[in-house]
Amino acid sequence: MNDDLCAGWVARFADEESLCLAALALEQSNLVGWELVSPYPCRFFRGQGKIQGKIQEHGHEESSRWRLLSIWGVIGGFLGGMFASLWIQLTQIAGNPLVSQGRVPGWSSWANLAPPIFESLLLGAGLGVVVGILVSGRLLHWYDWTLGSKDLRKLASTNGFFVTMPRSCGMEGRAFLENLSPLSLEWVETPPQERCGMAGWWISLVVVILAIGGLMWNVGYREPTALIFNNMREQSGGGYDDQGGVTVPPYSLALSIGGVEGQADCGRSDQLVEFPTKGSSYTLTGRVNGSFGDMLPVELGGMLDSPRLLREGKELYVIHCAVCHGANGDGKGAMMRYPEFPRVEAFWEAKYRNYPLGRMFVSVADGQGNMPAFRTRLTVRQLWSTIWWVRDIQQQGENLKKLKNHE
Amino acid sequence: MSEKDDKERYSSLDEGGDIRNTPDSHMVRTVVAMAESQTGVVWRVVFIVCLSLAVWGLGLGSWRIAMEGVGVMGVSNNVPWGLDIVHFVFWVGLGHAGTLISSVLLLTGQHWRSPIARGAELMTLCAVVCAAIFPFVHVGRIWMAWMVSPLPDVSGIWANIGSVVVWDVLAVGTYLLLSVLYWYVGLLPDLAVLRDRCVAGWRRRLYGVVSLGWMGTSRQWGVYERGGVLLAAVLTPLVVSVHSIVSFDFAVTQNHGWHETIFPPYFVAGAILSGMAMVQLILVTIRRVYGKGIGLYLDGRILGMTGRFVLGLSLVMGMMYFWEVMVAFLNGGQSQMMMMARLFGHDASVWWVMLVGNVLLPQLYWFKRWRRCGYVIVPVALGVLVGMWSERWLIVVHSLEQAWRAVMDSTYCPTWVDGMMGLGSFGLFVVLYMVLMRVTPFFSLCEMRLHQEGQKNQGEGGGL
Repeated sequence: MNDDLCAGWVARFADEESLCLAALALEQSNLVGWELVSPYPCRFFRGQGKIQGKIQEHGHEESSRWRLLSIWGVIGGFLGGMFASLWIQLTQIAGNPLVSQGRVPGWSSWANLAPPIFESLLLGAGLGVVVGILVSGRLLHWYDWTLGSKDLRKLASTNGFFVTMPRSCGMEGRAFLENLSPLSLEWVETPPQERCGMAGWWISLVVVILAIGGLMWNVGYREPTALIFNNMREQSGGGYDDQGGVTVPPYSLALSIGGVEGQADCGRSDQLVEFPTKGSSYTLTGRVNGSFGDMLPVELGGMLDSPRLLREGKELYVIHCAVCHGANGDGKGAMMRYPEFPRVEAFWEAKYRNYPLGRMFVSVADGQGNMPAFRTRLTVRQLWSTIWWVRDIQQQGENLKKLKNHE
Repeated sequence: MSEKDDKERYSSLDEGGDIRNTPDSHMVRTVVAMAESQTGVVWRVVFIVCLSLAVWGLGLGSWRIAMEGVGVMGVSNNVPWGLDIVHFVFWVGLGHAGTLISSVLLLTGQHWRSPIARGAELMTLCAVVCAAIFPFVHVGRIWMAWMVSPLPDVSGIWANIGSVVVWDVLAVGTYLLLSVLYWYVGLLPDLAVLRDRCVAGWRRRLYGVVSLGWMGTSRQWGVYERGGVLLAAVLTPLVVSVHSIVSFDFAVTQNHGWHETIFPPYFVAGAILSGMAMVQLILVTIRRVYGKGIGLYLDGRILGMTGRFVLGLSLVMGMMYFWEVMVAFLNGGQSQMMMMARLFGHDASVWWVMLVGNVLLPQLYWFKRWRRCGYVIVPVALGVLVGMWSERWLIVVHSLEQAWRAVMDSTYCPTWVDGMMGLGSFGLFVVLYMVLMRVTPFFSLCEMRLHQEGQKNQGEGGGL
């Protein structure tokens, strides 16, 4: 450690008047590194800005430009304003699809942006000035050898006017101080155990590391892509449904969309038939001898058409599928309003019409493309009944097309 | 080498002998004694009561709102803002007087402010902390509150910076941050005094760290003074803008009772009025409790000056109320119906309490004797606080309650949770103030010193 930081002389003067005379004398000398210490900003200095400036400049080698707190304030204010503008640009104008598609009324009113920019400017300016105070006041400087002086520590807050002079000034400096006839002259050498001013630095270091780490962990940089919803493939299979329970469909939702006719039970009261839960039967895999079958499983009556099954399937379809596939299966569900969302084709396109029922079961149960898997959300019976309704939609669509062509 | 010589030539000072003889020793001792003395029984009882109030009210209230949903509050679809927003506006307003005293009056060279500036700043901090709690809790899903921050989120949903609610977060956040920094920077020399006065132990280490190595060199004093003026120059527009933006929450909404162009100055004047009343209450309390300590420095002259502020602002508020009523009647229609409901409706008493508390009671301050008399100040200040609270209630709740369609017809009835939150915020305010007043000096020693010098020389004085 630099010796200058460990020892020196502390001279005490009677009042601010004599301290100032001493300062003027020191200012004429070629001594370097001395400081004036007083319990309050002395009136003598305050009245004579030039003298104060000179005294503050004296003996310190670093440039004085960092002293201009107003510059710090201006820089901070500029950064604050830029921050707000960047925020607006990134998150609102460039990124926000609602804004870029013109869906937020009144967005073109630039007066809306004045308050946040104004506040950020003030915030930046204030922070800038505080940083300036810390830097140019040589703060965040927890260790100082003068702390070892008894007189200074006792009187600095009340009536102590001191000149401190580091050891590097040598006996010349001491003689100079003696000539100024101070009240007392103390040689201060801080014992090694007192040189523990690093605590503050360690704490600062920890705070900075925590802050940076927290920012990196929490903020990071994320691609500001304009996605309203995630790609469904990236979502989990179904949250609480994974616990093995059966999802209770939101009936109120289905009712509000108008998809439920009467009191539907979604098959929950119709569990007379035992469905397999394990194994590789057609009911669970949609395959017979490795190839897709095209009929309902025997538990549901094979090829028999059941109005009850259809009603149940329609209800489940409205709840789980219609948001993308459309209430009538035209592939124009509510999600298609978002251009970022993948397109869905109508069920009566040839691609889907040619699917055997087993193939459709596998698609719905295990997911296909952007569509998530529903095996954990619906029971096997519910899966089959939904598919049965989709097949019904396809046939109706075909009939519709035929009718249109006929016309 | 020179150590022995020095000891021979200059006898070191006697322990403590010199301090007692210095002119400012009483000031330093009283201020430091606050931090060093043991707490009394009364202090502890009040502290524990208020702490329990804060934990019960804010803690349990917030917990219930977060866990059970906003349904536990009295708000409904038609009156979506209730007591929580009333308290938010009330507490934010209280803070403004502190900033006014510490920064605006510094820039204008009002030296009488020095003994109370720190205490008023402290009030600002505590009040803004109390205020900041309410909007967050009121969100309901408090864990989603971060979504107003400018963090791009993977879901692609961002806060709309053109929304007044986001302006509000920015304004109050800026206000809180800069108020804390201003208070802290002003505190540095006094923390250094505490550091120097502590003999050893964790207390000295703590004060040593938080005083950032303040030595009181002439360079530091220069920076301190200039920095104080600059920060005051930043805070002055801030104090005006913060409550203006809070008023935008209402004024930019097309709702009778809210959509008024006069709202920004109306809110700022009301805020400073209520804040000054709170400052007066605190001053009178401290004079009573610490009459032999720091209370000695809070003389009647200072109370008189704050009283003048209250008086002047009460006249301003009277003018604003008059304007509001006249404009409503000039406009006619629903505005007029709204004003008639306020003045003569079923809960018209709130309006009249507001008028009495904010405008009529402070007229007692026309007399110098009463301006300086604690027995007059306490009821008047309490009256102003009640009046300002009533004004917030009128603006927030009453305006929403007035419905012009049958389907919107509803009344607002606060629940226990609303009341708990309000009481809890009061407890938190008192607890914070009591703690911060004890661990930090109540007034700035250097500024008081300059204040005294200035009085001697009729010259300058100032600083933070």
